Amino acid sequence: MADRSQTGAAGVADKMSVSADVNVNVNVSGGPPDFVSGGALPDVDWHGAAAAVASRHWRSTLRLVAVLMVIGFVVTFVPQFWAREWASLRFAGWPLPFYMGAQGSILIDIGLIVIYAWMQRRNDARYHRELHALRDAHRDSLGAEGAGLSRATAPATSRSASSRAASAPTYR
Amino acid sequence: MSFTRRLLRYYLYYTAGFLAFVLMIGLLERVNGPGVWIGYAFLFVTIAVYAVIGLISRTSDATEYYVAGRRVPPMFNGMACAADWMSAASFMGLAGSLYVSGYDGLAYVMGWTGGYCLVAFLLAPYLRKMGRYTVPDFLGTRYDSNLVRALGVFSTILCSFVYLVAQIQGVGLIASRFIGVEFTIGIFFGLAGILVCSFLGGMRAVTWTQVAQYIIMITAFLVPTAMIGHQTGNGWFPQFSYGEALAKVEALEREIQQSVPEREVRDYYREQAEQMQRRLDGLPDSFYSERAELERQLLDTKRRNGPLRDVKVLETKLDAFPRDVGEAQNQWLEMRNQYVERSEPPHAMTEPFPARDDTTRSSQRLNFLLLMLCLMIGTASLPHILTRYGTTATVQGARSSVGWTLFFVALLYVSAPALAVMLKYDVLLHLVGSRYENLPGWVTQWRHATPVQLDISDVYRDGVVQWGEIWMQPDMLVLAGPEIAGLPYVISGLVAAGALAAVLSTADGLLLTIANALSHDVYFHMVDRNASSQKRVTTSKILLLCVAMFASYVTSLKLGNILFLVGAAFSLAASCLFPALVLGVFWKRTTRLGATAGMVSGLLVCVYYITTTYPFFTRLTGFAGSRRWGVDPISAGAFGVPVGVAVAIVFSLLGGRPSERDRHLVDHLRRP
Repeated sequence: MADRSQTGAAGVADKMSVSADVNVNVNVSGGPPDFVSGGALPDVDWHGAAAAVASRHWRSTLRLVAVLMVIGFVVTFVPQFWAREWASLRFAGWPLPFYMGAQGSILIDIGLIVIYAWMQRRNDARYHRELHALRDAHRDSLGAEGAGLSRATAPATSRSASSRAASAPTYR
Repeated sequence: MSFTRRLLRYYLYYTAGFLAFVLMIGLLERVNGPGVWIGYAFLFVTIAVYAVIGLISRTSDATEYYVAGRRVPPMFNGMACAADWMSAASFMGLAGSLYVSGYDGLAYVMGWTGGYCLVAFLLAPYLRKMGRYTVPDFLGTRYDSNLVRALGVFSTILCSFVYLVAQIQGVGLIASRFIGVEFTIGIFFGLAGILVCSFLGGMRAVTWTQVAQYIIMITAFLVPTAMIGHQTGNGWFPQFSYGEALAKVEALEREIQQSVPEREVRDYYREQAEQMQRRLDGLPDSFYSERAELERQLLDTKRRNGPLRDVKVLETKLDAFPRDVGEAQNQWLEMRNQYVERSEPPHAMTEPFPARDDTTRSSQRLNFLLLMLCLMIGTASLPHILTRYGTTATVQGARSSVGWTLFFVALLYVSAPALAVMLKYDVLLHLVGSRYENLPGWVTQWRHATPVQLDISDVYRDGVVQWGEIWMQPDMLVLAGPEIAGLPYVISGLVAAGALAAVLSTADGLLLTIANALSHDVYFHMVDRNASSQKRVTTSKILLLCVAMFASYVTSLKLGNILFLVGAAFSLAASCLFPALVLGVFWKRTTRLGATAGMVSGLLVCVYYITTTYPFFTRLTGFAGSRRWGVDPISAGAFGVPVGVAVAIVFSLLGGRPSERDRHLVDHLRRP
């Protein structure tokens, strides 16, 4: 375990630790905050189509969270509210409200979080895909030279590379 | 080989090594017979292991020190977070309170797990995206205000500190039971155990020791559960089959409700409670006259040259007698409540809200649901949990690591009710009905523990143990569980090591959270903006030491009511932090003014409700308010959170619009 500090982004972390706590420096003139511009997608227009992509992503996040929270609330609170009335209902040998309290709602909660993490991963992937498509279209419209450049520097789509890229700006 | 694979291999070796160690001790016990050395071996060897991990992970780099370098794989972060989360209250208290109070204990099971949904959906990804070091740091950055930061620091310290004191108390208890030292010495033993993990390596060391501690903790819970399950005929995985045992327990409980001796025992305690009430009513005269009476008896015996033993008995009695009227009132009130509790007829474990009339029942139901809600929101606001999600490499990693956390927490939480039911079955079947001449060994052992853990006395005077004659401190149940079920002593040692791991891991996380809030948010952000990262880490280490010393000192004062305050810490954290944290991400319109007002008002409402309704404080201040809708003080968050949210919204709308910077920041947080 001693060599943990030599692995991964140790060198990067060293450099970054110097600036790690300087308050995020925001470009007040309405442009992108610079902690974004240093990240994976340098030349995205945050006012037009890209903002629409972002807000689509946020809306589906909200929808997902709302649905899952309602489910979680119902399975946790409803059987407990009617615990006395439902005590005669049996689930695999247990009274239903007792089972829900002791095991059922925990297992359902795990399921909800797994669903959330999985759906959000897909949601994020779609966001990145749409944004890349947007930028490629933008580059293509600038001419062949720009398009060639874009293919060379386009962030790899493999999970590890994109996750490293996504985490990079937040170190700063 | 990837980082995760290598970690996985290290911890697999570690787990195998630990199991081999347990087996070895087990074999040694078979040859040499049980003894105190088993307790020593388990506690000292595990602490040595944590110390080695802490030493290897030492660091002075800021990102490493504050957030473990932000490259903890989600599964390992889940494990560390589960260890961070599960304290003495989860490891010992959960099964204990299910055993003692039955259905009511389920509020804790659901509240302490349901909160993770809120963490996953509302907080963890955004905290990670912000990429700050502490929770006050998140608030201070989101609202661009040192005032909000200071409020965050204040509430972080407020709830973490009481929680920390309770953990150190737990270490004292474990040490005094298993190595036989004085409680106060046990505290400093625990302090050493806590500091070796966190002092040199900060979050980095705490993370890797917490993973190690989780493995010990879960082994120490699941192995006895499986063995007890096997022994009581519920199979090796009683988690799936204890429904049957539950039915048997219910049948035995019905017998107890009816039987004559049990009823007599309850009548005896009712009388005792009434007597105690008379003493309370007679205050302060009863205090002075009783003390004078004791002193007179002592003087008499001495003058008569009475036997030395009588003198000793009287002297200890006088020693134990309250020092002044206030103390007498506290002590007697506690005793009266205990007698009242013991005079109540037992109710079935699965019976929810077991009051006799409908009004009390609906009040019990309301308090059950509100307690659950407060524990959930509190879980999602406790800073020592939230900072852990800053240590993953990505936002997606933070999300899935919440799932892993709940999975690892659930392993214990799903087993706790099974363990409680099986132990209750064992006690009802074997201890109840046995004769006082041949009580099992564990009863004699635990009877002599201080503070009092077990009281068992032949009130009915028939030489047979009745259910009503046994009184147990909930916390001792899990520790004594292997002995109750008649397992070899090595399992008790294992459970002690697990309890110690649970306590130390939580204490480490809390200590680090407090010290980091002080060093990063107060020292760096408010005192010296130009401090080098080296200097900040050094400051943090010094503060860590000071906070640990201070917490141990406070624990050694033995303030009895601290356990209530742990429950209240959830309400406090929920009222002060939750509105500002969640609104800050989900409602772009929230302004600095709104957040400040929301935090202050939430905290004030919560503190006001607790101090005016909880007996300890009302006696202290002499001012008692009414309980609104009969809500218990522990659920004060039920008022604090809505008030905090409402005030934050109103003041945000009243003040100006949020700045350009704030809106961009929120946009940034929401983008993956």
